[in-house]
Amino acid sequence: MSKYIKLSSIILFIAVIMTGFGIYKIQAKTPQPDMKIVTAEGMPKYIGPIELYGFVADSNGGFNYPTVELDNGNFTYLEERSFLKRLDFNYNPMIDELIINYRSFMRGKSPQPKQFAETAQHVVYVGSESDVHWSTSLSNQMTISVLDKETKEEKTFSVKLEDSSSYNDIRAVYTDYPSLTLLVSTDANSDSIQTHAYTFDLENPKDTLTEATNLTKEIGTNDYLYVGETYDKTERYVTLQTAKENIDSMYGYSEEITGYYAYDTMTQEVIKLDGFDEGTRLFTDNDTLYVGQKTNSGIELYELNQDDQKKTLLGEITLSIPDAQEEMSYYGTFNQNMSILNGKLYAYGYTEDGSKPALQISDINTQDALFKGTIELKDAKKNDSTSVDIIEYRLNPLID
Amino acid sequence: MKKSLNALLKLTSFELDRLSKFLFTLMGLTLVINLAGYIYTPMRHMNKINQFMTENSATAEEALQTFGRFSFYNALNSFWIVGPIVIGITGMLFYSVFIWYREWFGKNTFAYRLLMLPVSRMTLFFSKFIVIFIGIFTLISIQMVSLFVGYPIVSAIISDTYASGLSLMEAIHAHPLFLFLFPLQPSYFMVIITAGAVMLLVLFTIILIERSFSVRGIFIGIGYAALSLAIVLFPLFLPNLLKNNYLFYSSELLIIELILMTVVGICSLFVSRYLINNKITV
Repeated sequence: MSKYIKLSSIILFIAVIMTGFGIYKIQAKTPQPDMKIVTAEGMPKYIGPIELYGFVADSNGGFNYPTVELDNGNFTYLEERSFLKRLDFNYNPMIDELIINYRSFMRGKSPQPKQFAETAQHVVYVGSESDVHWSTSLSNQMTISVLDKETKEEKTFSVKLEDSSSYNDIRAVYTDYPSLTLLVSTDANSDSIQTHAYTFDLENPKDTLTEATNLTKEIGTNDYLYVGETYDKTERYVTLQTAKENIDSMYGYSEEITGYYAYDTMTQEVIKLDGFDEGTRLFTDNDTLYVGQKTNSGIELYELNQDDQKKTLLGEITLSIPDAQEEMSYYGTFNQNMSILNGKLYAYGYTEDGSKPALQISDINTQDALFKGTIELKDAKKNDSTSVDIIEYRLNPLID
Repeated sequence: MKKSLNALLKLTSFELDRLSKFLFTLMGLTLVINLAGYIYTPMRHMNKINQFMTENSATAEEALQTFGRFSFYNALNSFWIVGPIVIGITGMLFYSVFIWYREWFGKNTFAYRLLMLPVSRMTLFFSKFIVIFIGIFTLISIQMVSLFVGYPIVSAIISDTYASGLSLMEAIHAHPLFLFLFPLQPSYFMVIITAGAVMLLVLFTIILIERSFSVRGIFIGIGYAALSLAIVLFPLFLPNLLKNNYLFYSSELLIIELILMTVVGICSLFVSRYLINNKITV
């Protein structure tokens, strides 16, 4: 036995150290801080549609920023998922949920939320080859897929854009099943990028997408076109905004909004909305357009009659989230932090001291706050050293 | 079965004896250089602070603003810790080649004596394979011990005012190198170990190919290495071949990768068995 002394000692040494390290790791592991919704006003049941991801940063906790998820009012940490499920995680709540629920349908599709529209019955996807394989040269060939959630039946159509173009960027997909409207920025028949609206009948498919409206031409400017962030892709109107860059200095520029528009997916017309001041915001919900006007304490909300553009004041909604009043726009969309869904205005931002994420939900007709609150740690002592940064936010239109 | 296990144990013990001097040197080197780092790195930081405060009549607050807080991570991220790890990896990689060639390049061709032993020749193969893994895990273990020794040393040198309060585990988690070396995430660690084992099996096979076919074997060995690499890296080319980056989910790509690595590992074992039994003659 003595001839194995070195072998057994070394193996014992490895076993002891590895076990010791394992025990220490488990013992030293501090559980992720429990999160809670602190209600300042109203009822937390209204936060159901809010889905968000945030990084939890503890100034005493080193370099570890765990990802926390708020879904249907419940908080979970990404690390609670199994190793393989963590690998498939997508940082967009909509795409992540679609992958979890319709894994087979989502296979091979570009994980961009702007390319999907979800209804209670269907999931619709529009994409081109270059969306899923970046080195493929751009073509005017598009793939439209539709999934029937109940029967799990998937239909795929290969369609061509009417005009040949070397650049196609799908900006938004809207559906009033079986009618599909997609906004695509292309360079077809023009030296500059123009945005077109195309329609497609999912029940009566054709092999060519016919242009319904040339939005750029209708709007009459080549200013950059922003599409309103609408979480419900079954809305009638697509809100639009044009903006141009003003060069302020050698190193900086500012963006100036040059016009507000709405595209009516039913009549296929572009509605120009005039008389808007600085600080105006344009929303849509179901078949209605709303205009928000920034005030000192919140936002004055008007219902817009699209025929004569007459604004009817609904009332003023007091906002307890200071930064929600400022419009957030990126990736070609605007209204990131405030939107109207099913008669409620949802806003998110941070508390005045910037330490905690704040949420507010108001009834647009009564202007009552249905919910006002913050996301905080259950252990109040840790609130000073810990902050939660929202990285992704969306409203789930299928949850009321 | 018992006989072959006994033979494996004997050969492994024998191989470990031969490795021990090299292994103990690497262990010692790791401990000594690490220890120097645990003392030198925080002391240098404190010296800088003291010098700054003396020269500028600065307060501790101002010194903190200039130099920041010192954490154990700063010590880990220095040459003193990373260096011995690199030496250890390189050393074990070198020894993986040396473990075979030493048998042929000694004064006496010891390989012939080993191959004449009345045991399966694969026992010899496995004993060398196991010993390399024992060596790797010993170095990982000694690195763990070193960290547990180093943490209180660094904490003692850095005064509380300038310490970041980062715990030992937080510092280890923050360092990307330890994510590969330590079982911080067991599933991830298993993937790394599998990849390491397959790499070692392929390396052993290449050595046996070279030993079997001489100069021609070098080219065959390079071809085998290229083929193994191509098979293992095949999932990375799948998106381009299928012209779709999203056809497979990351978890599926990992599973495919693990299956392919296992296939390459098993193939290497079979090729090695064939070569060691039929091509390497005494």
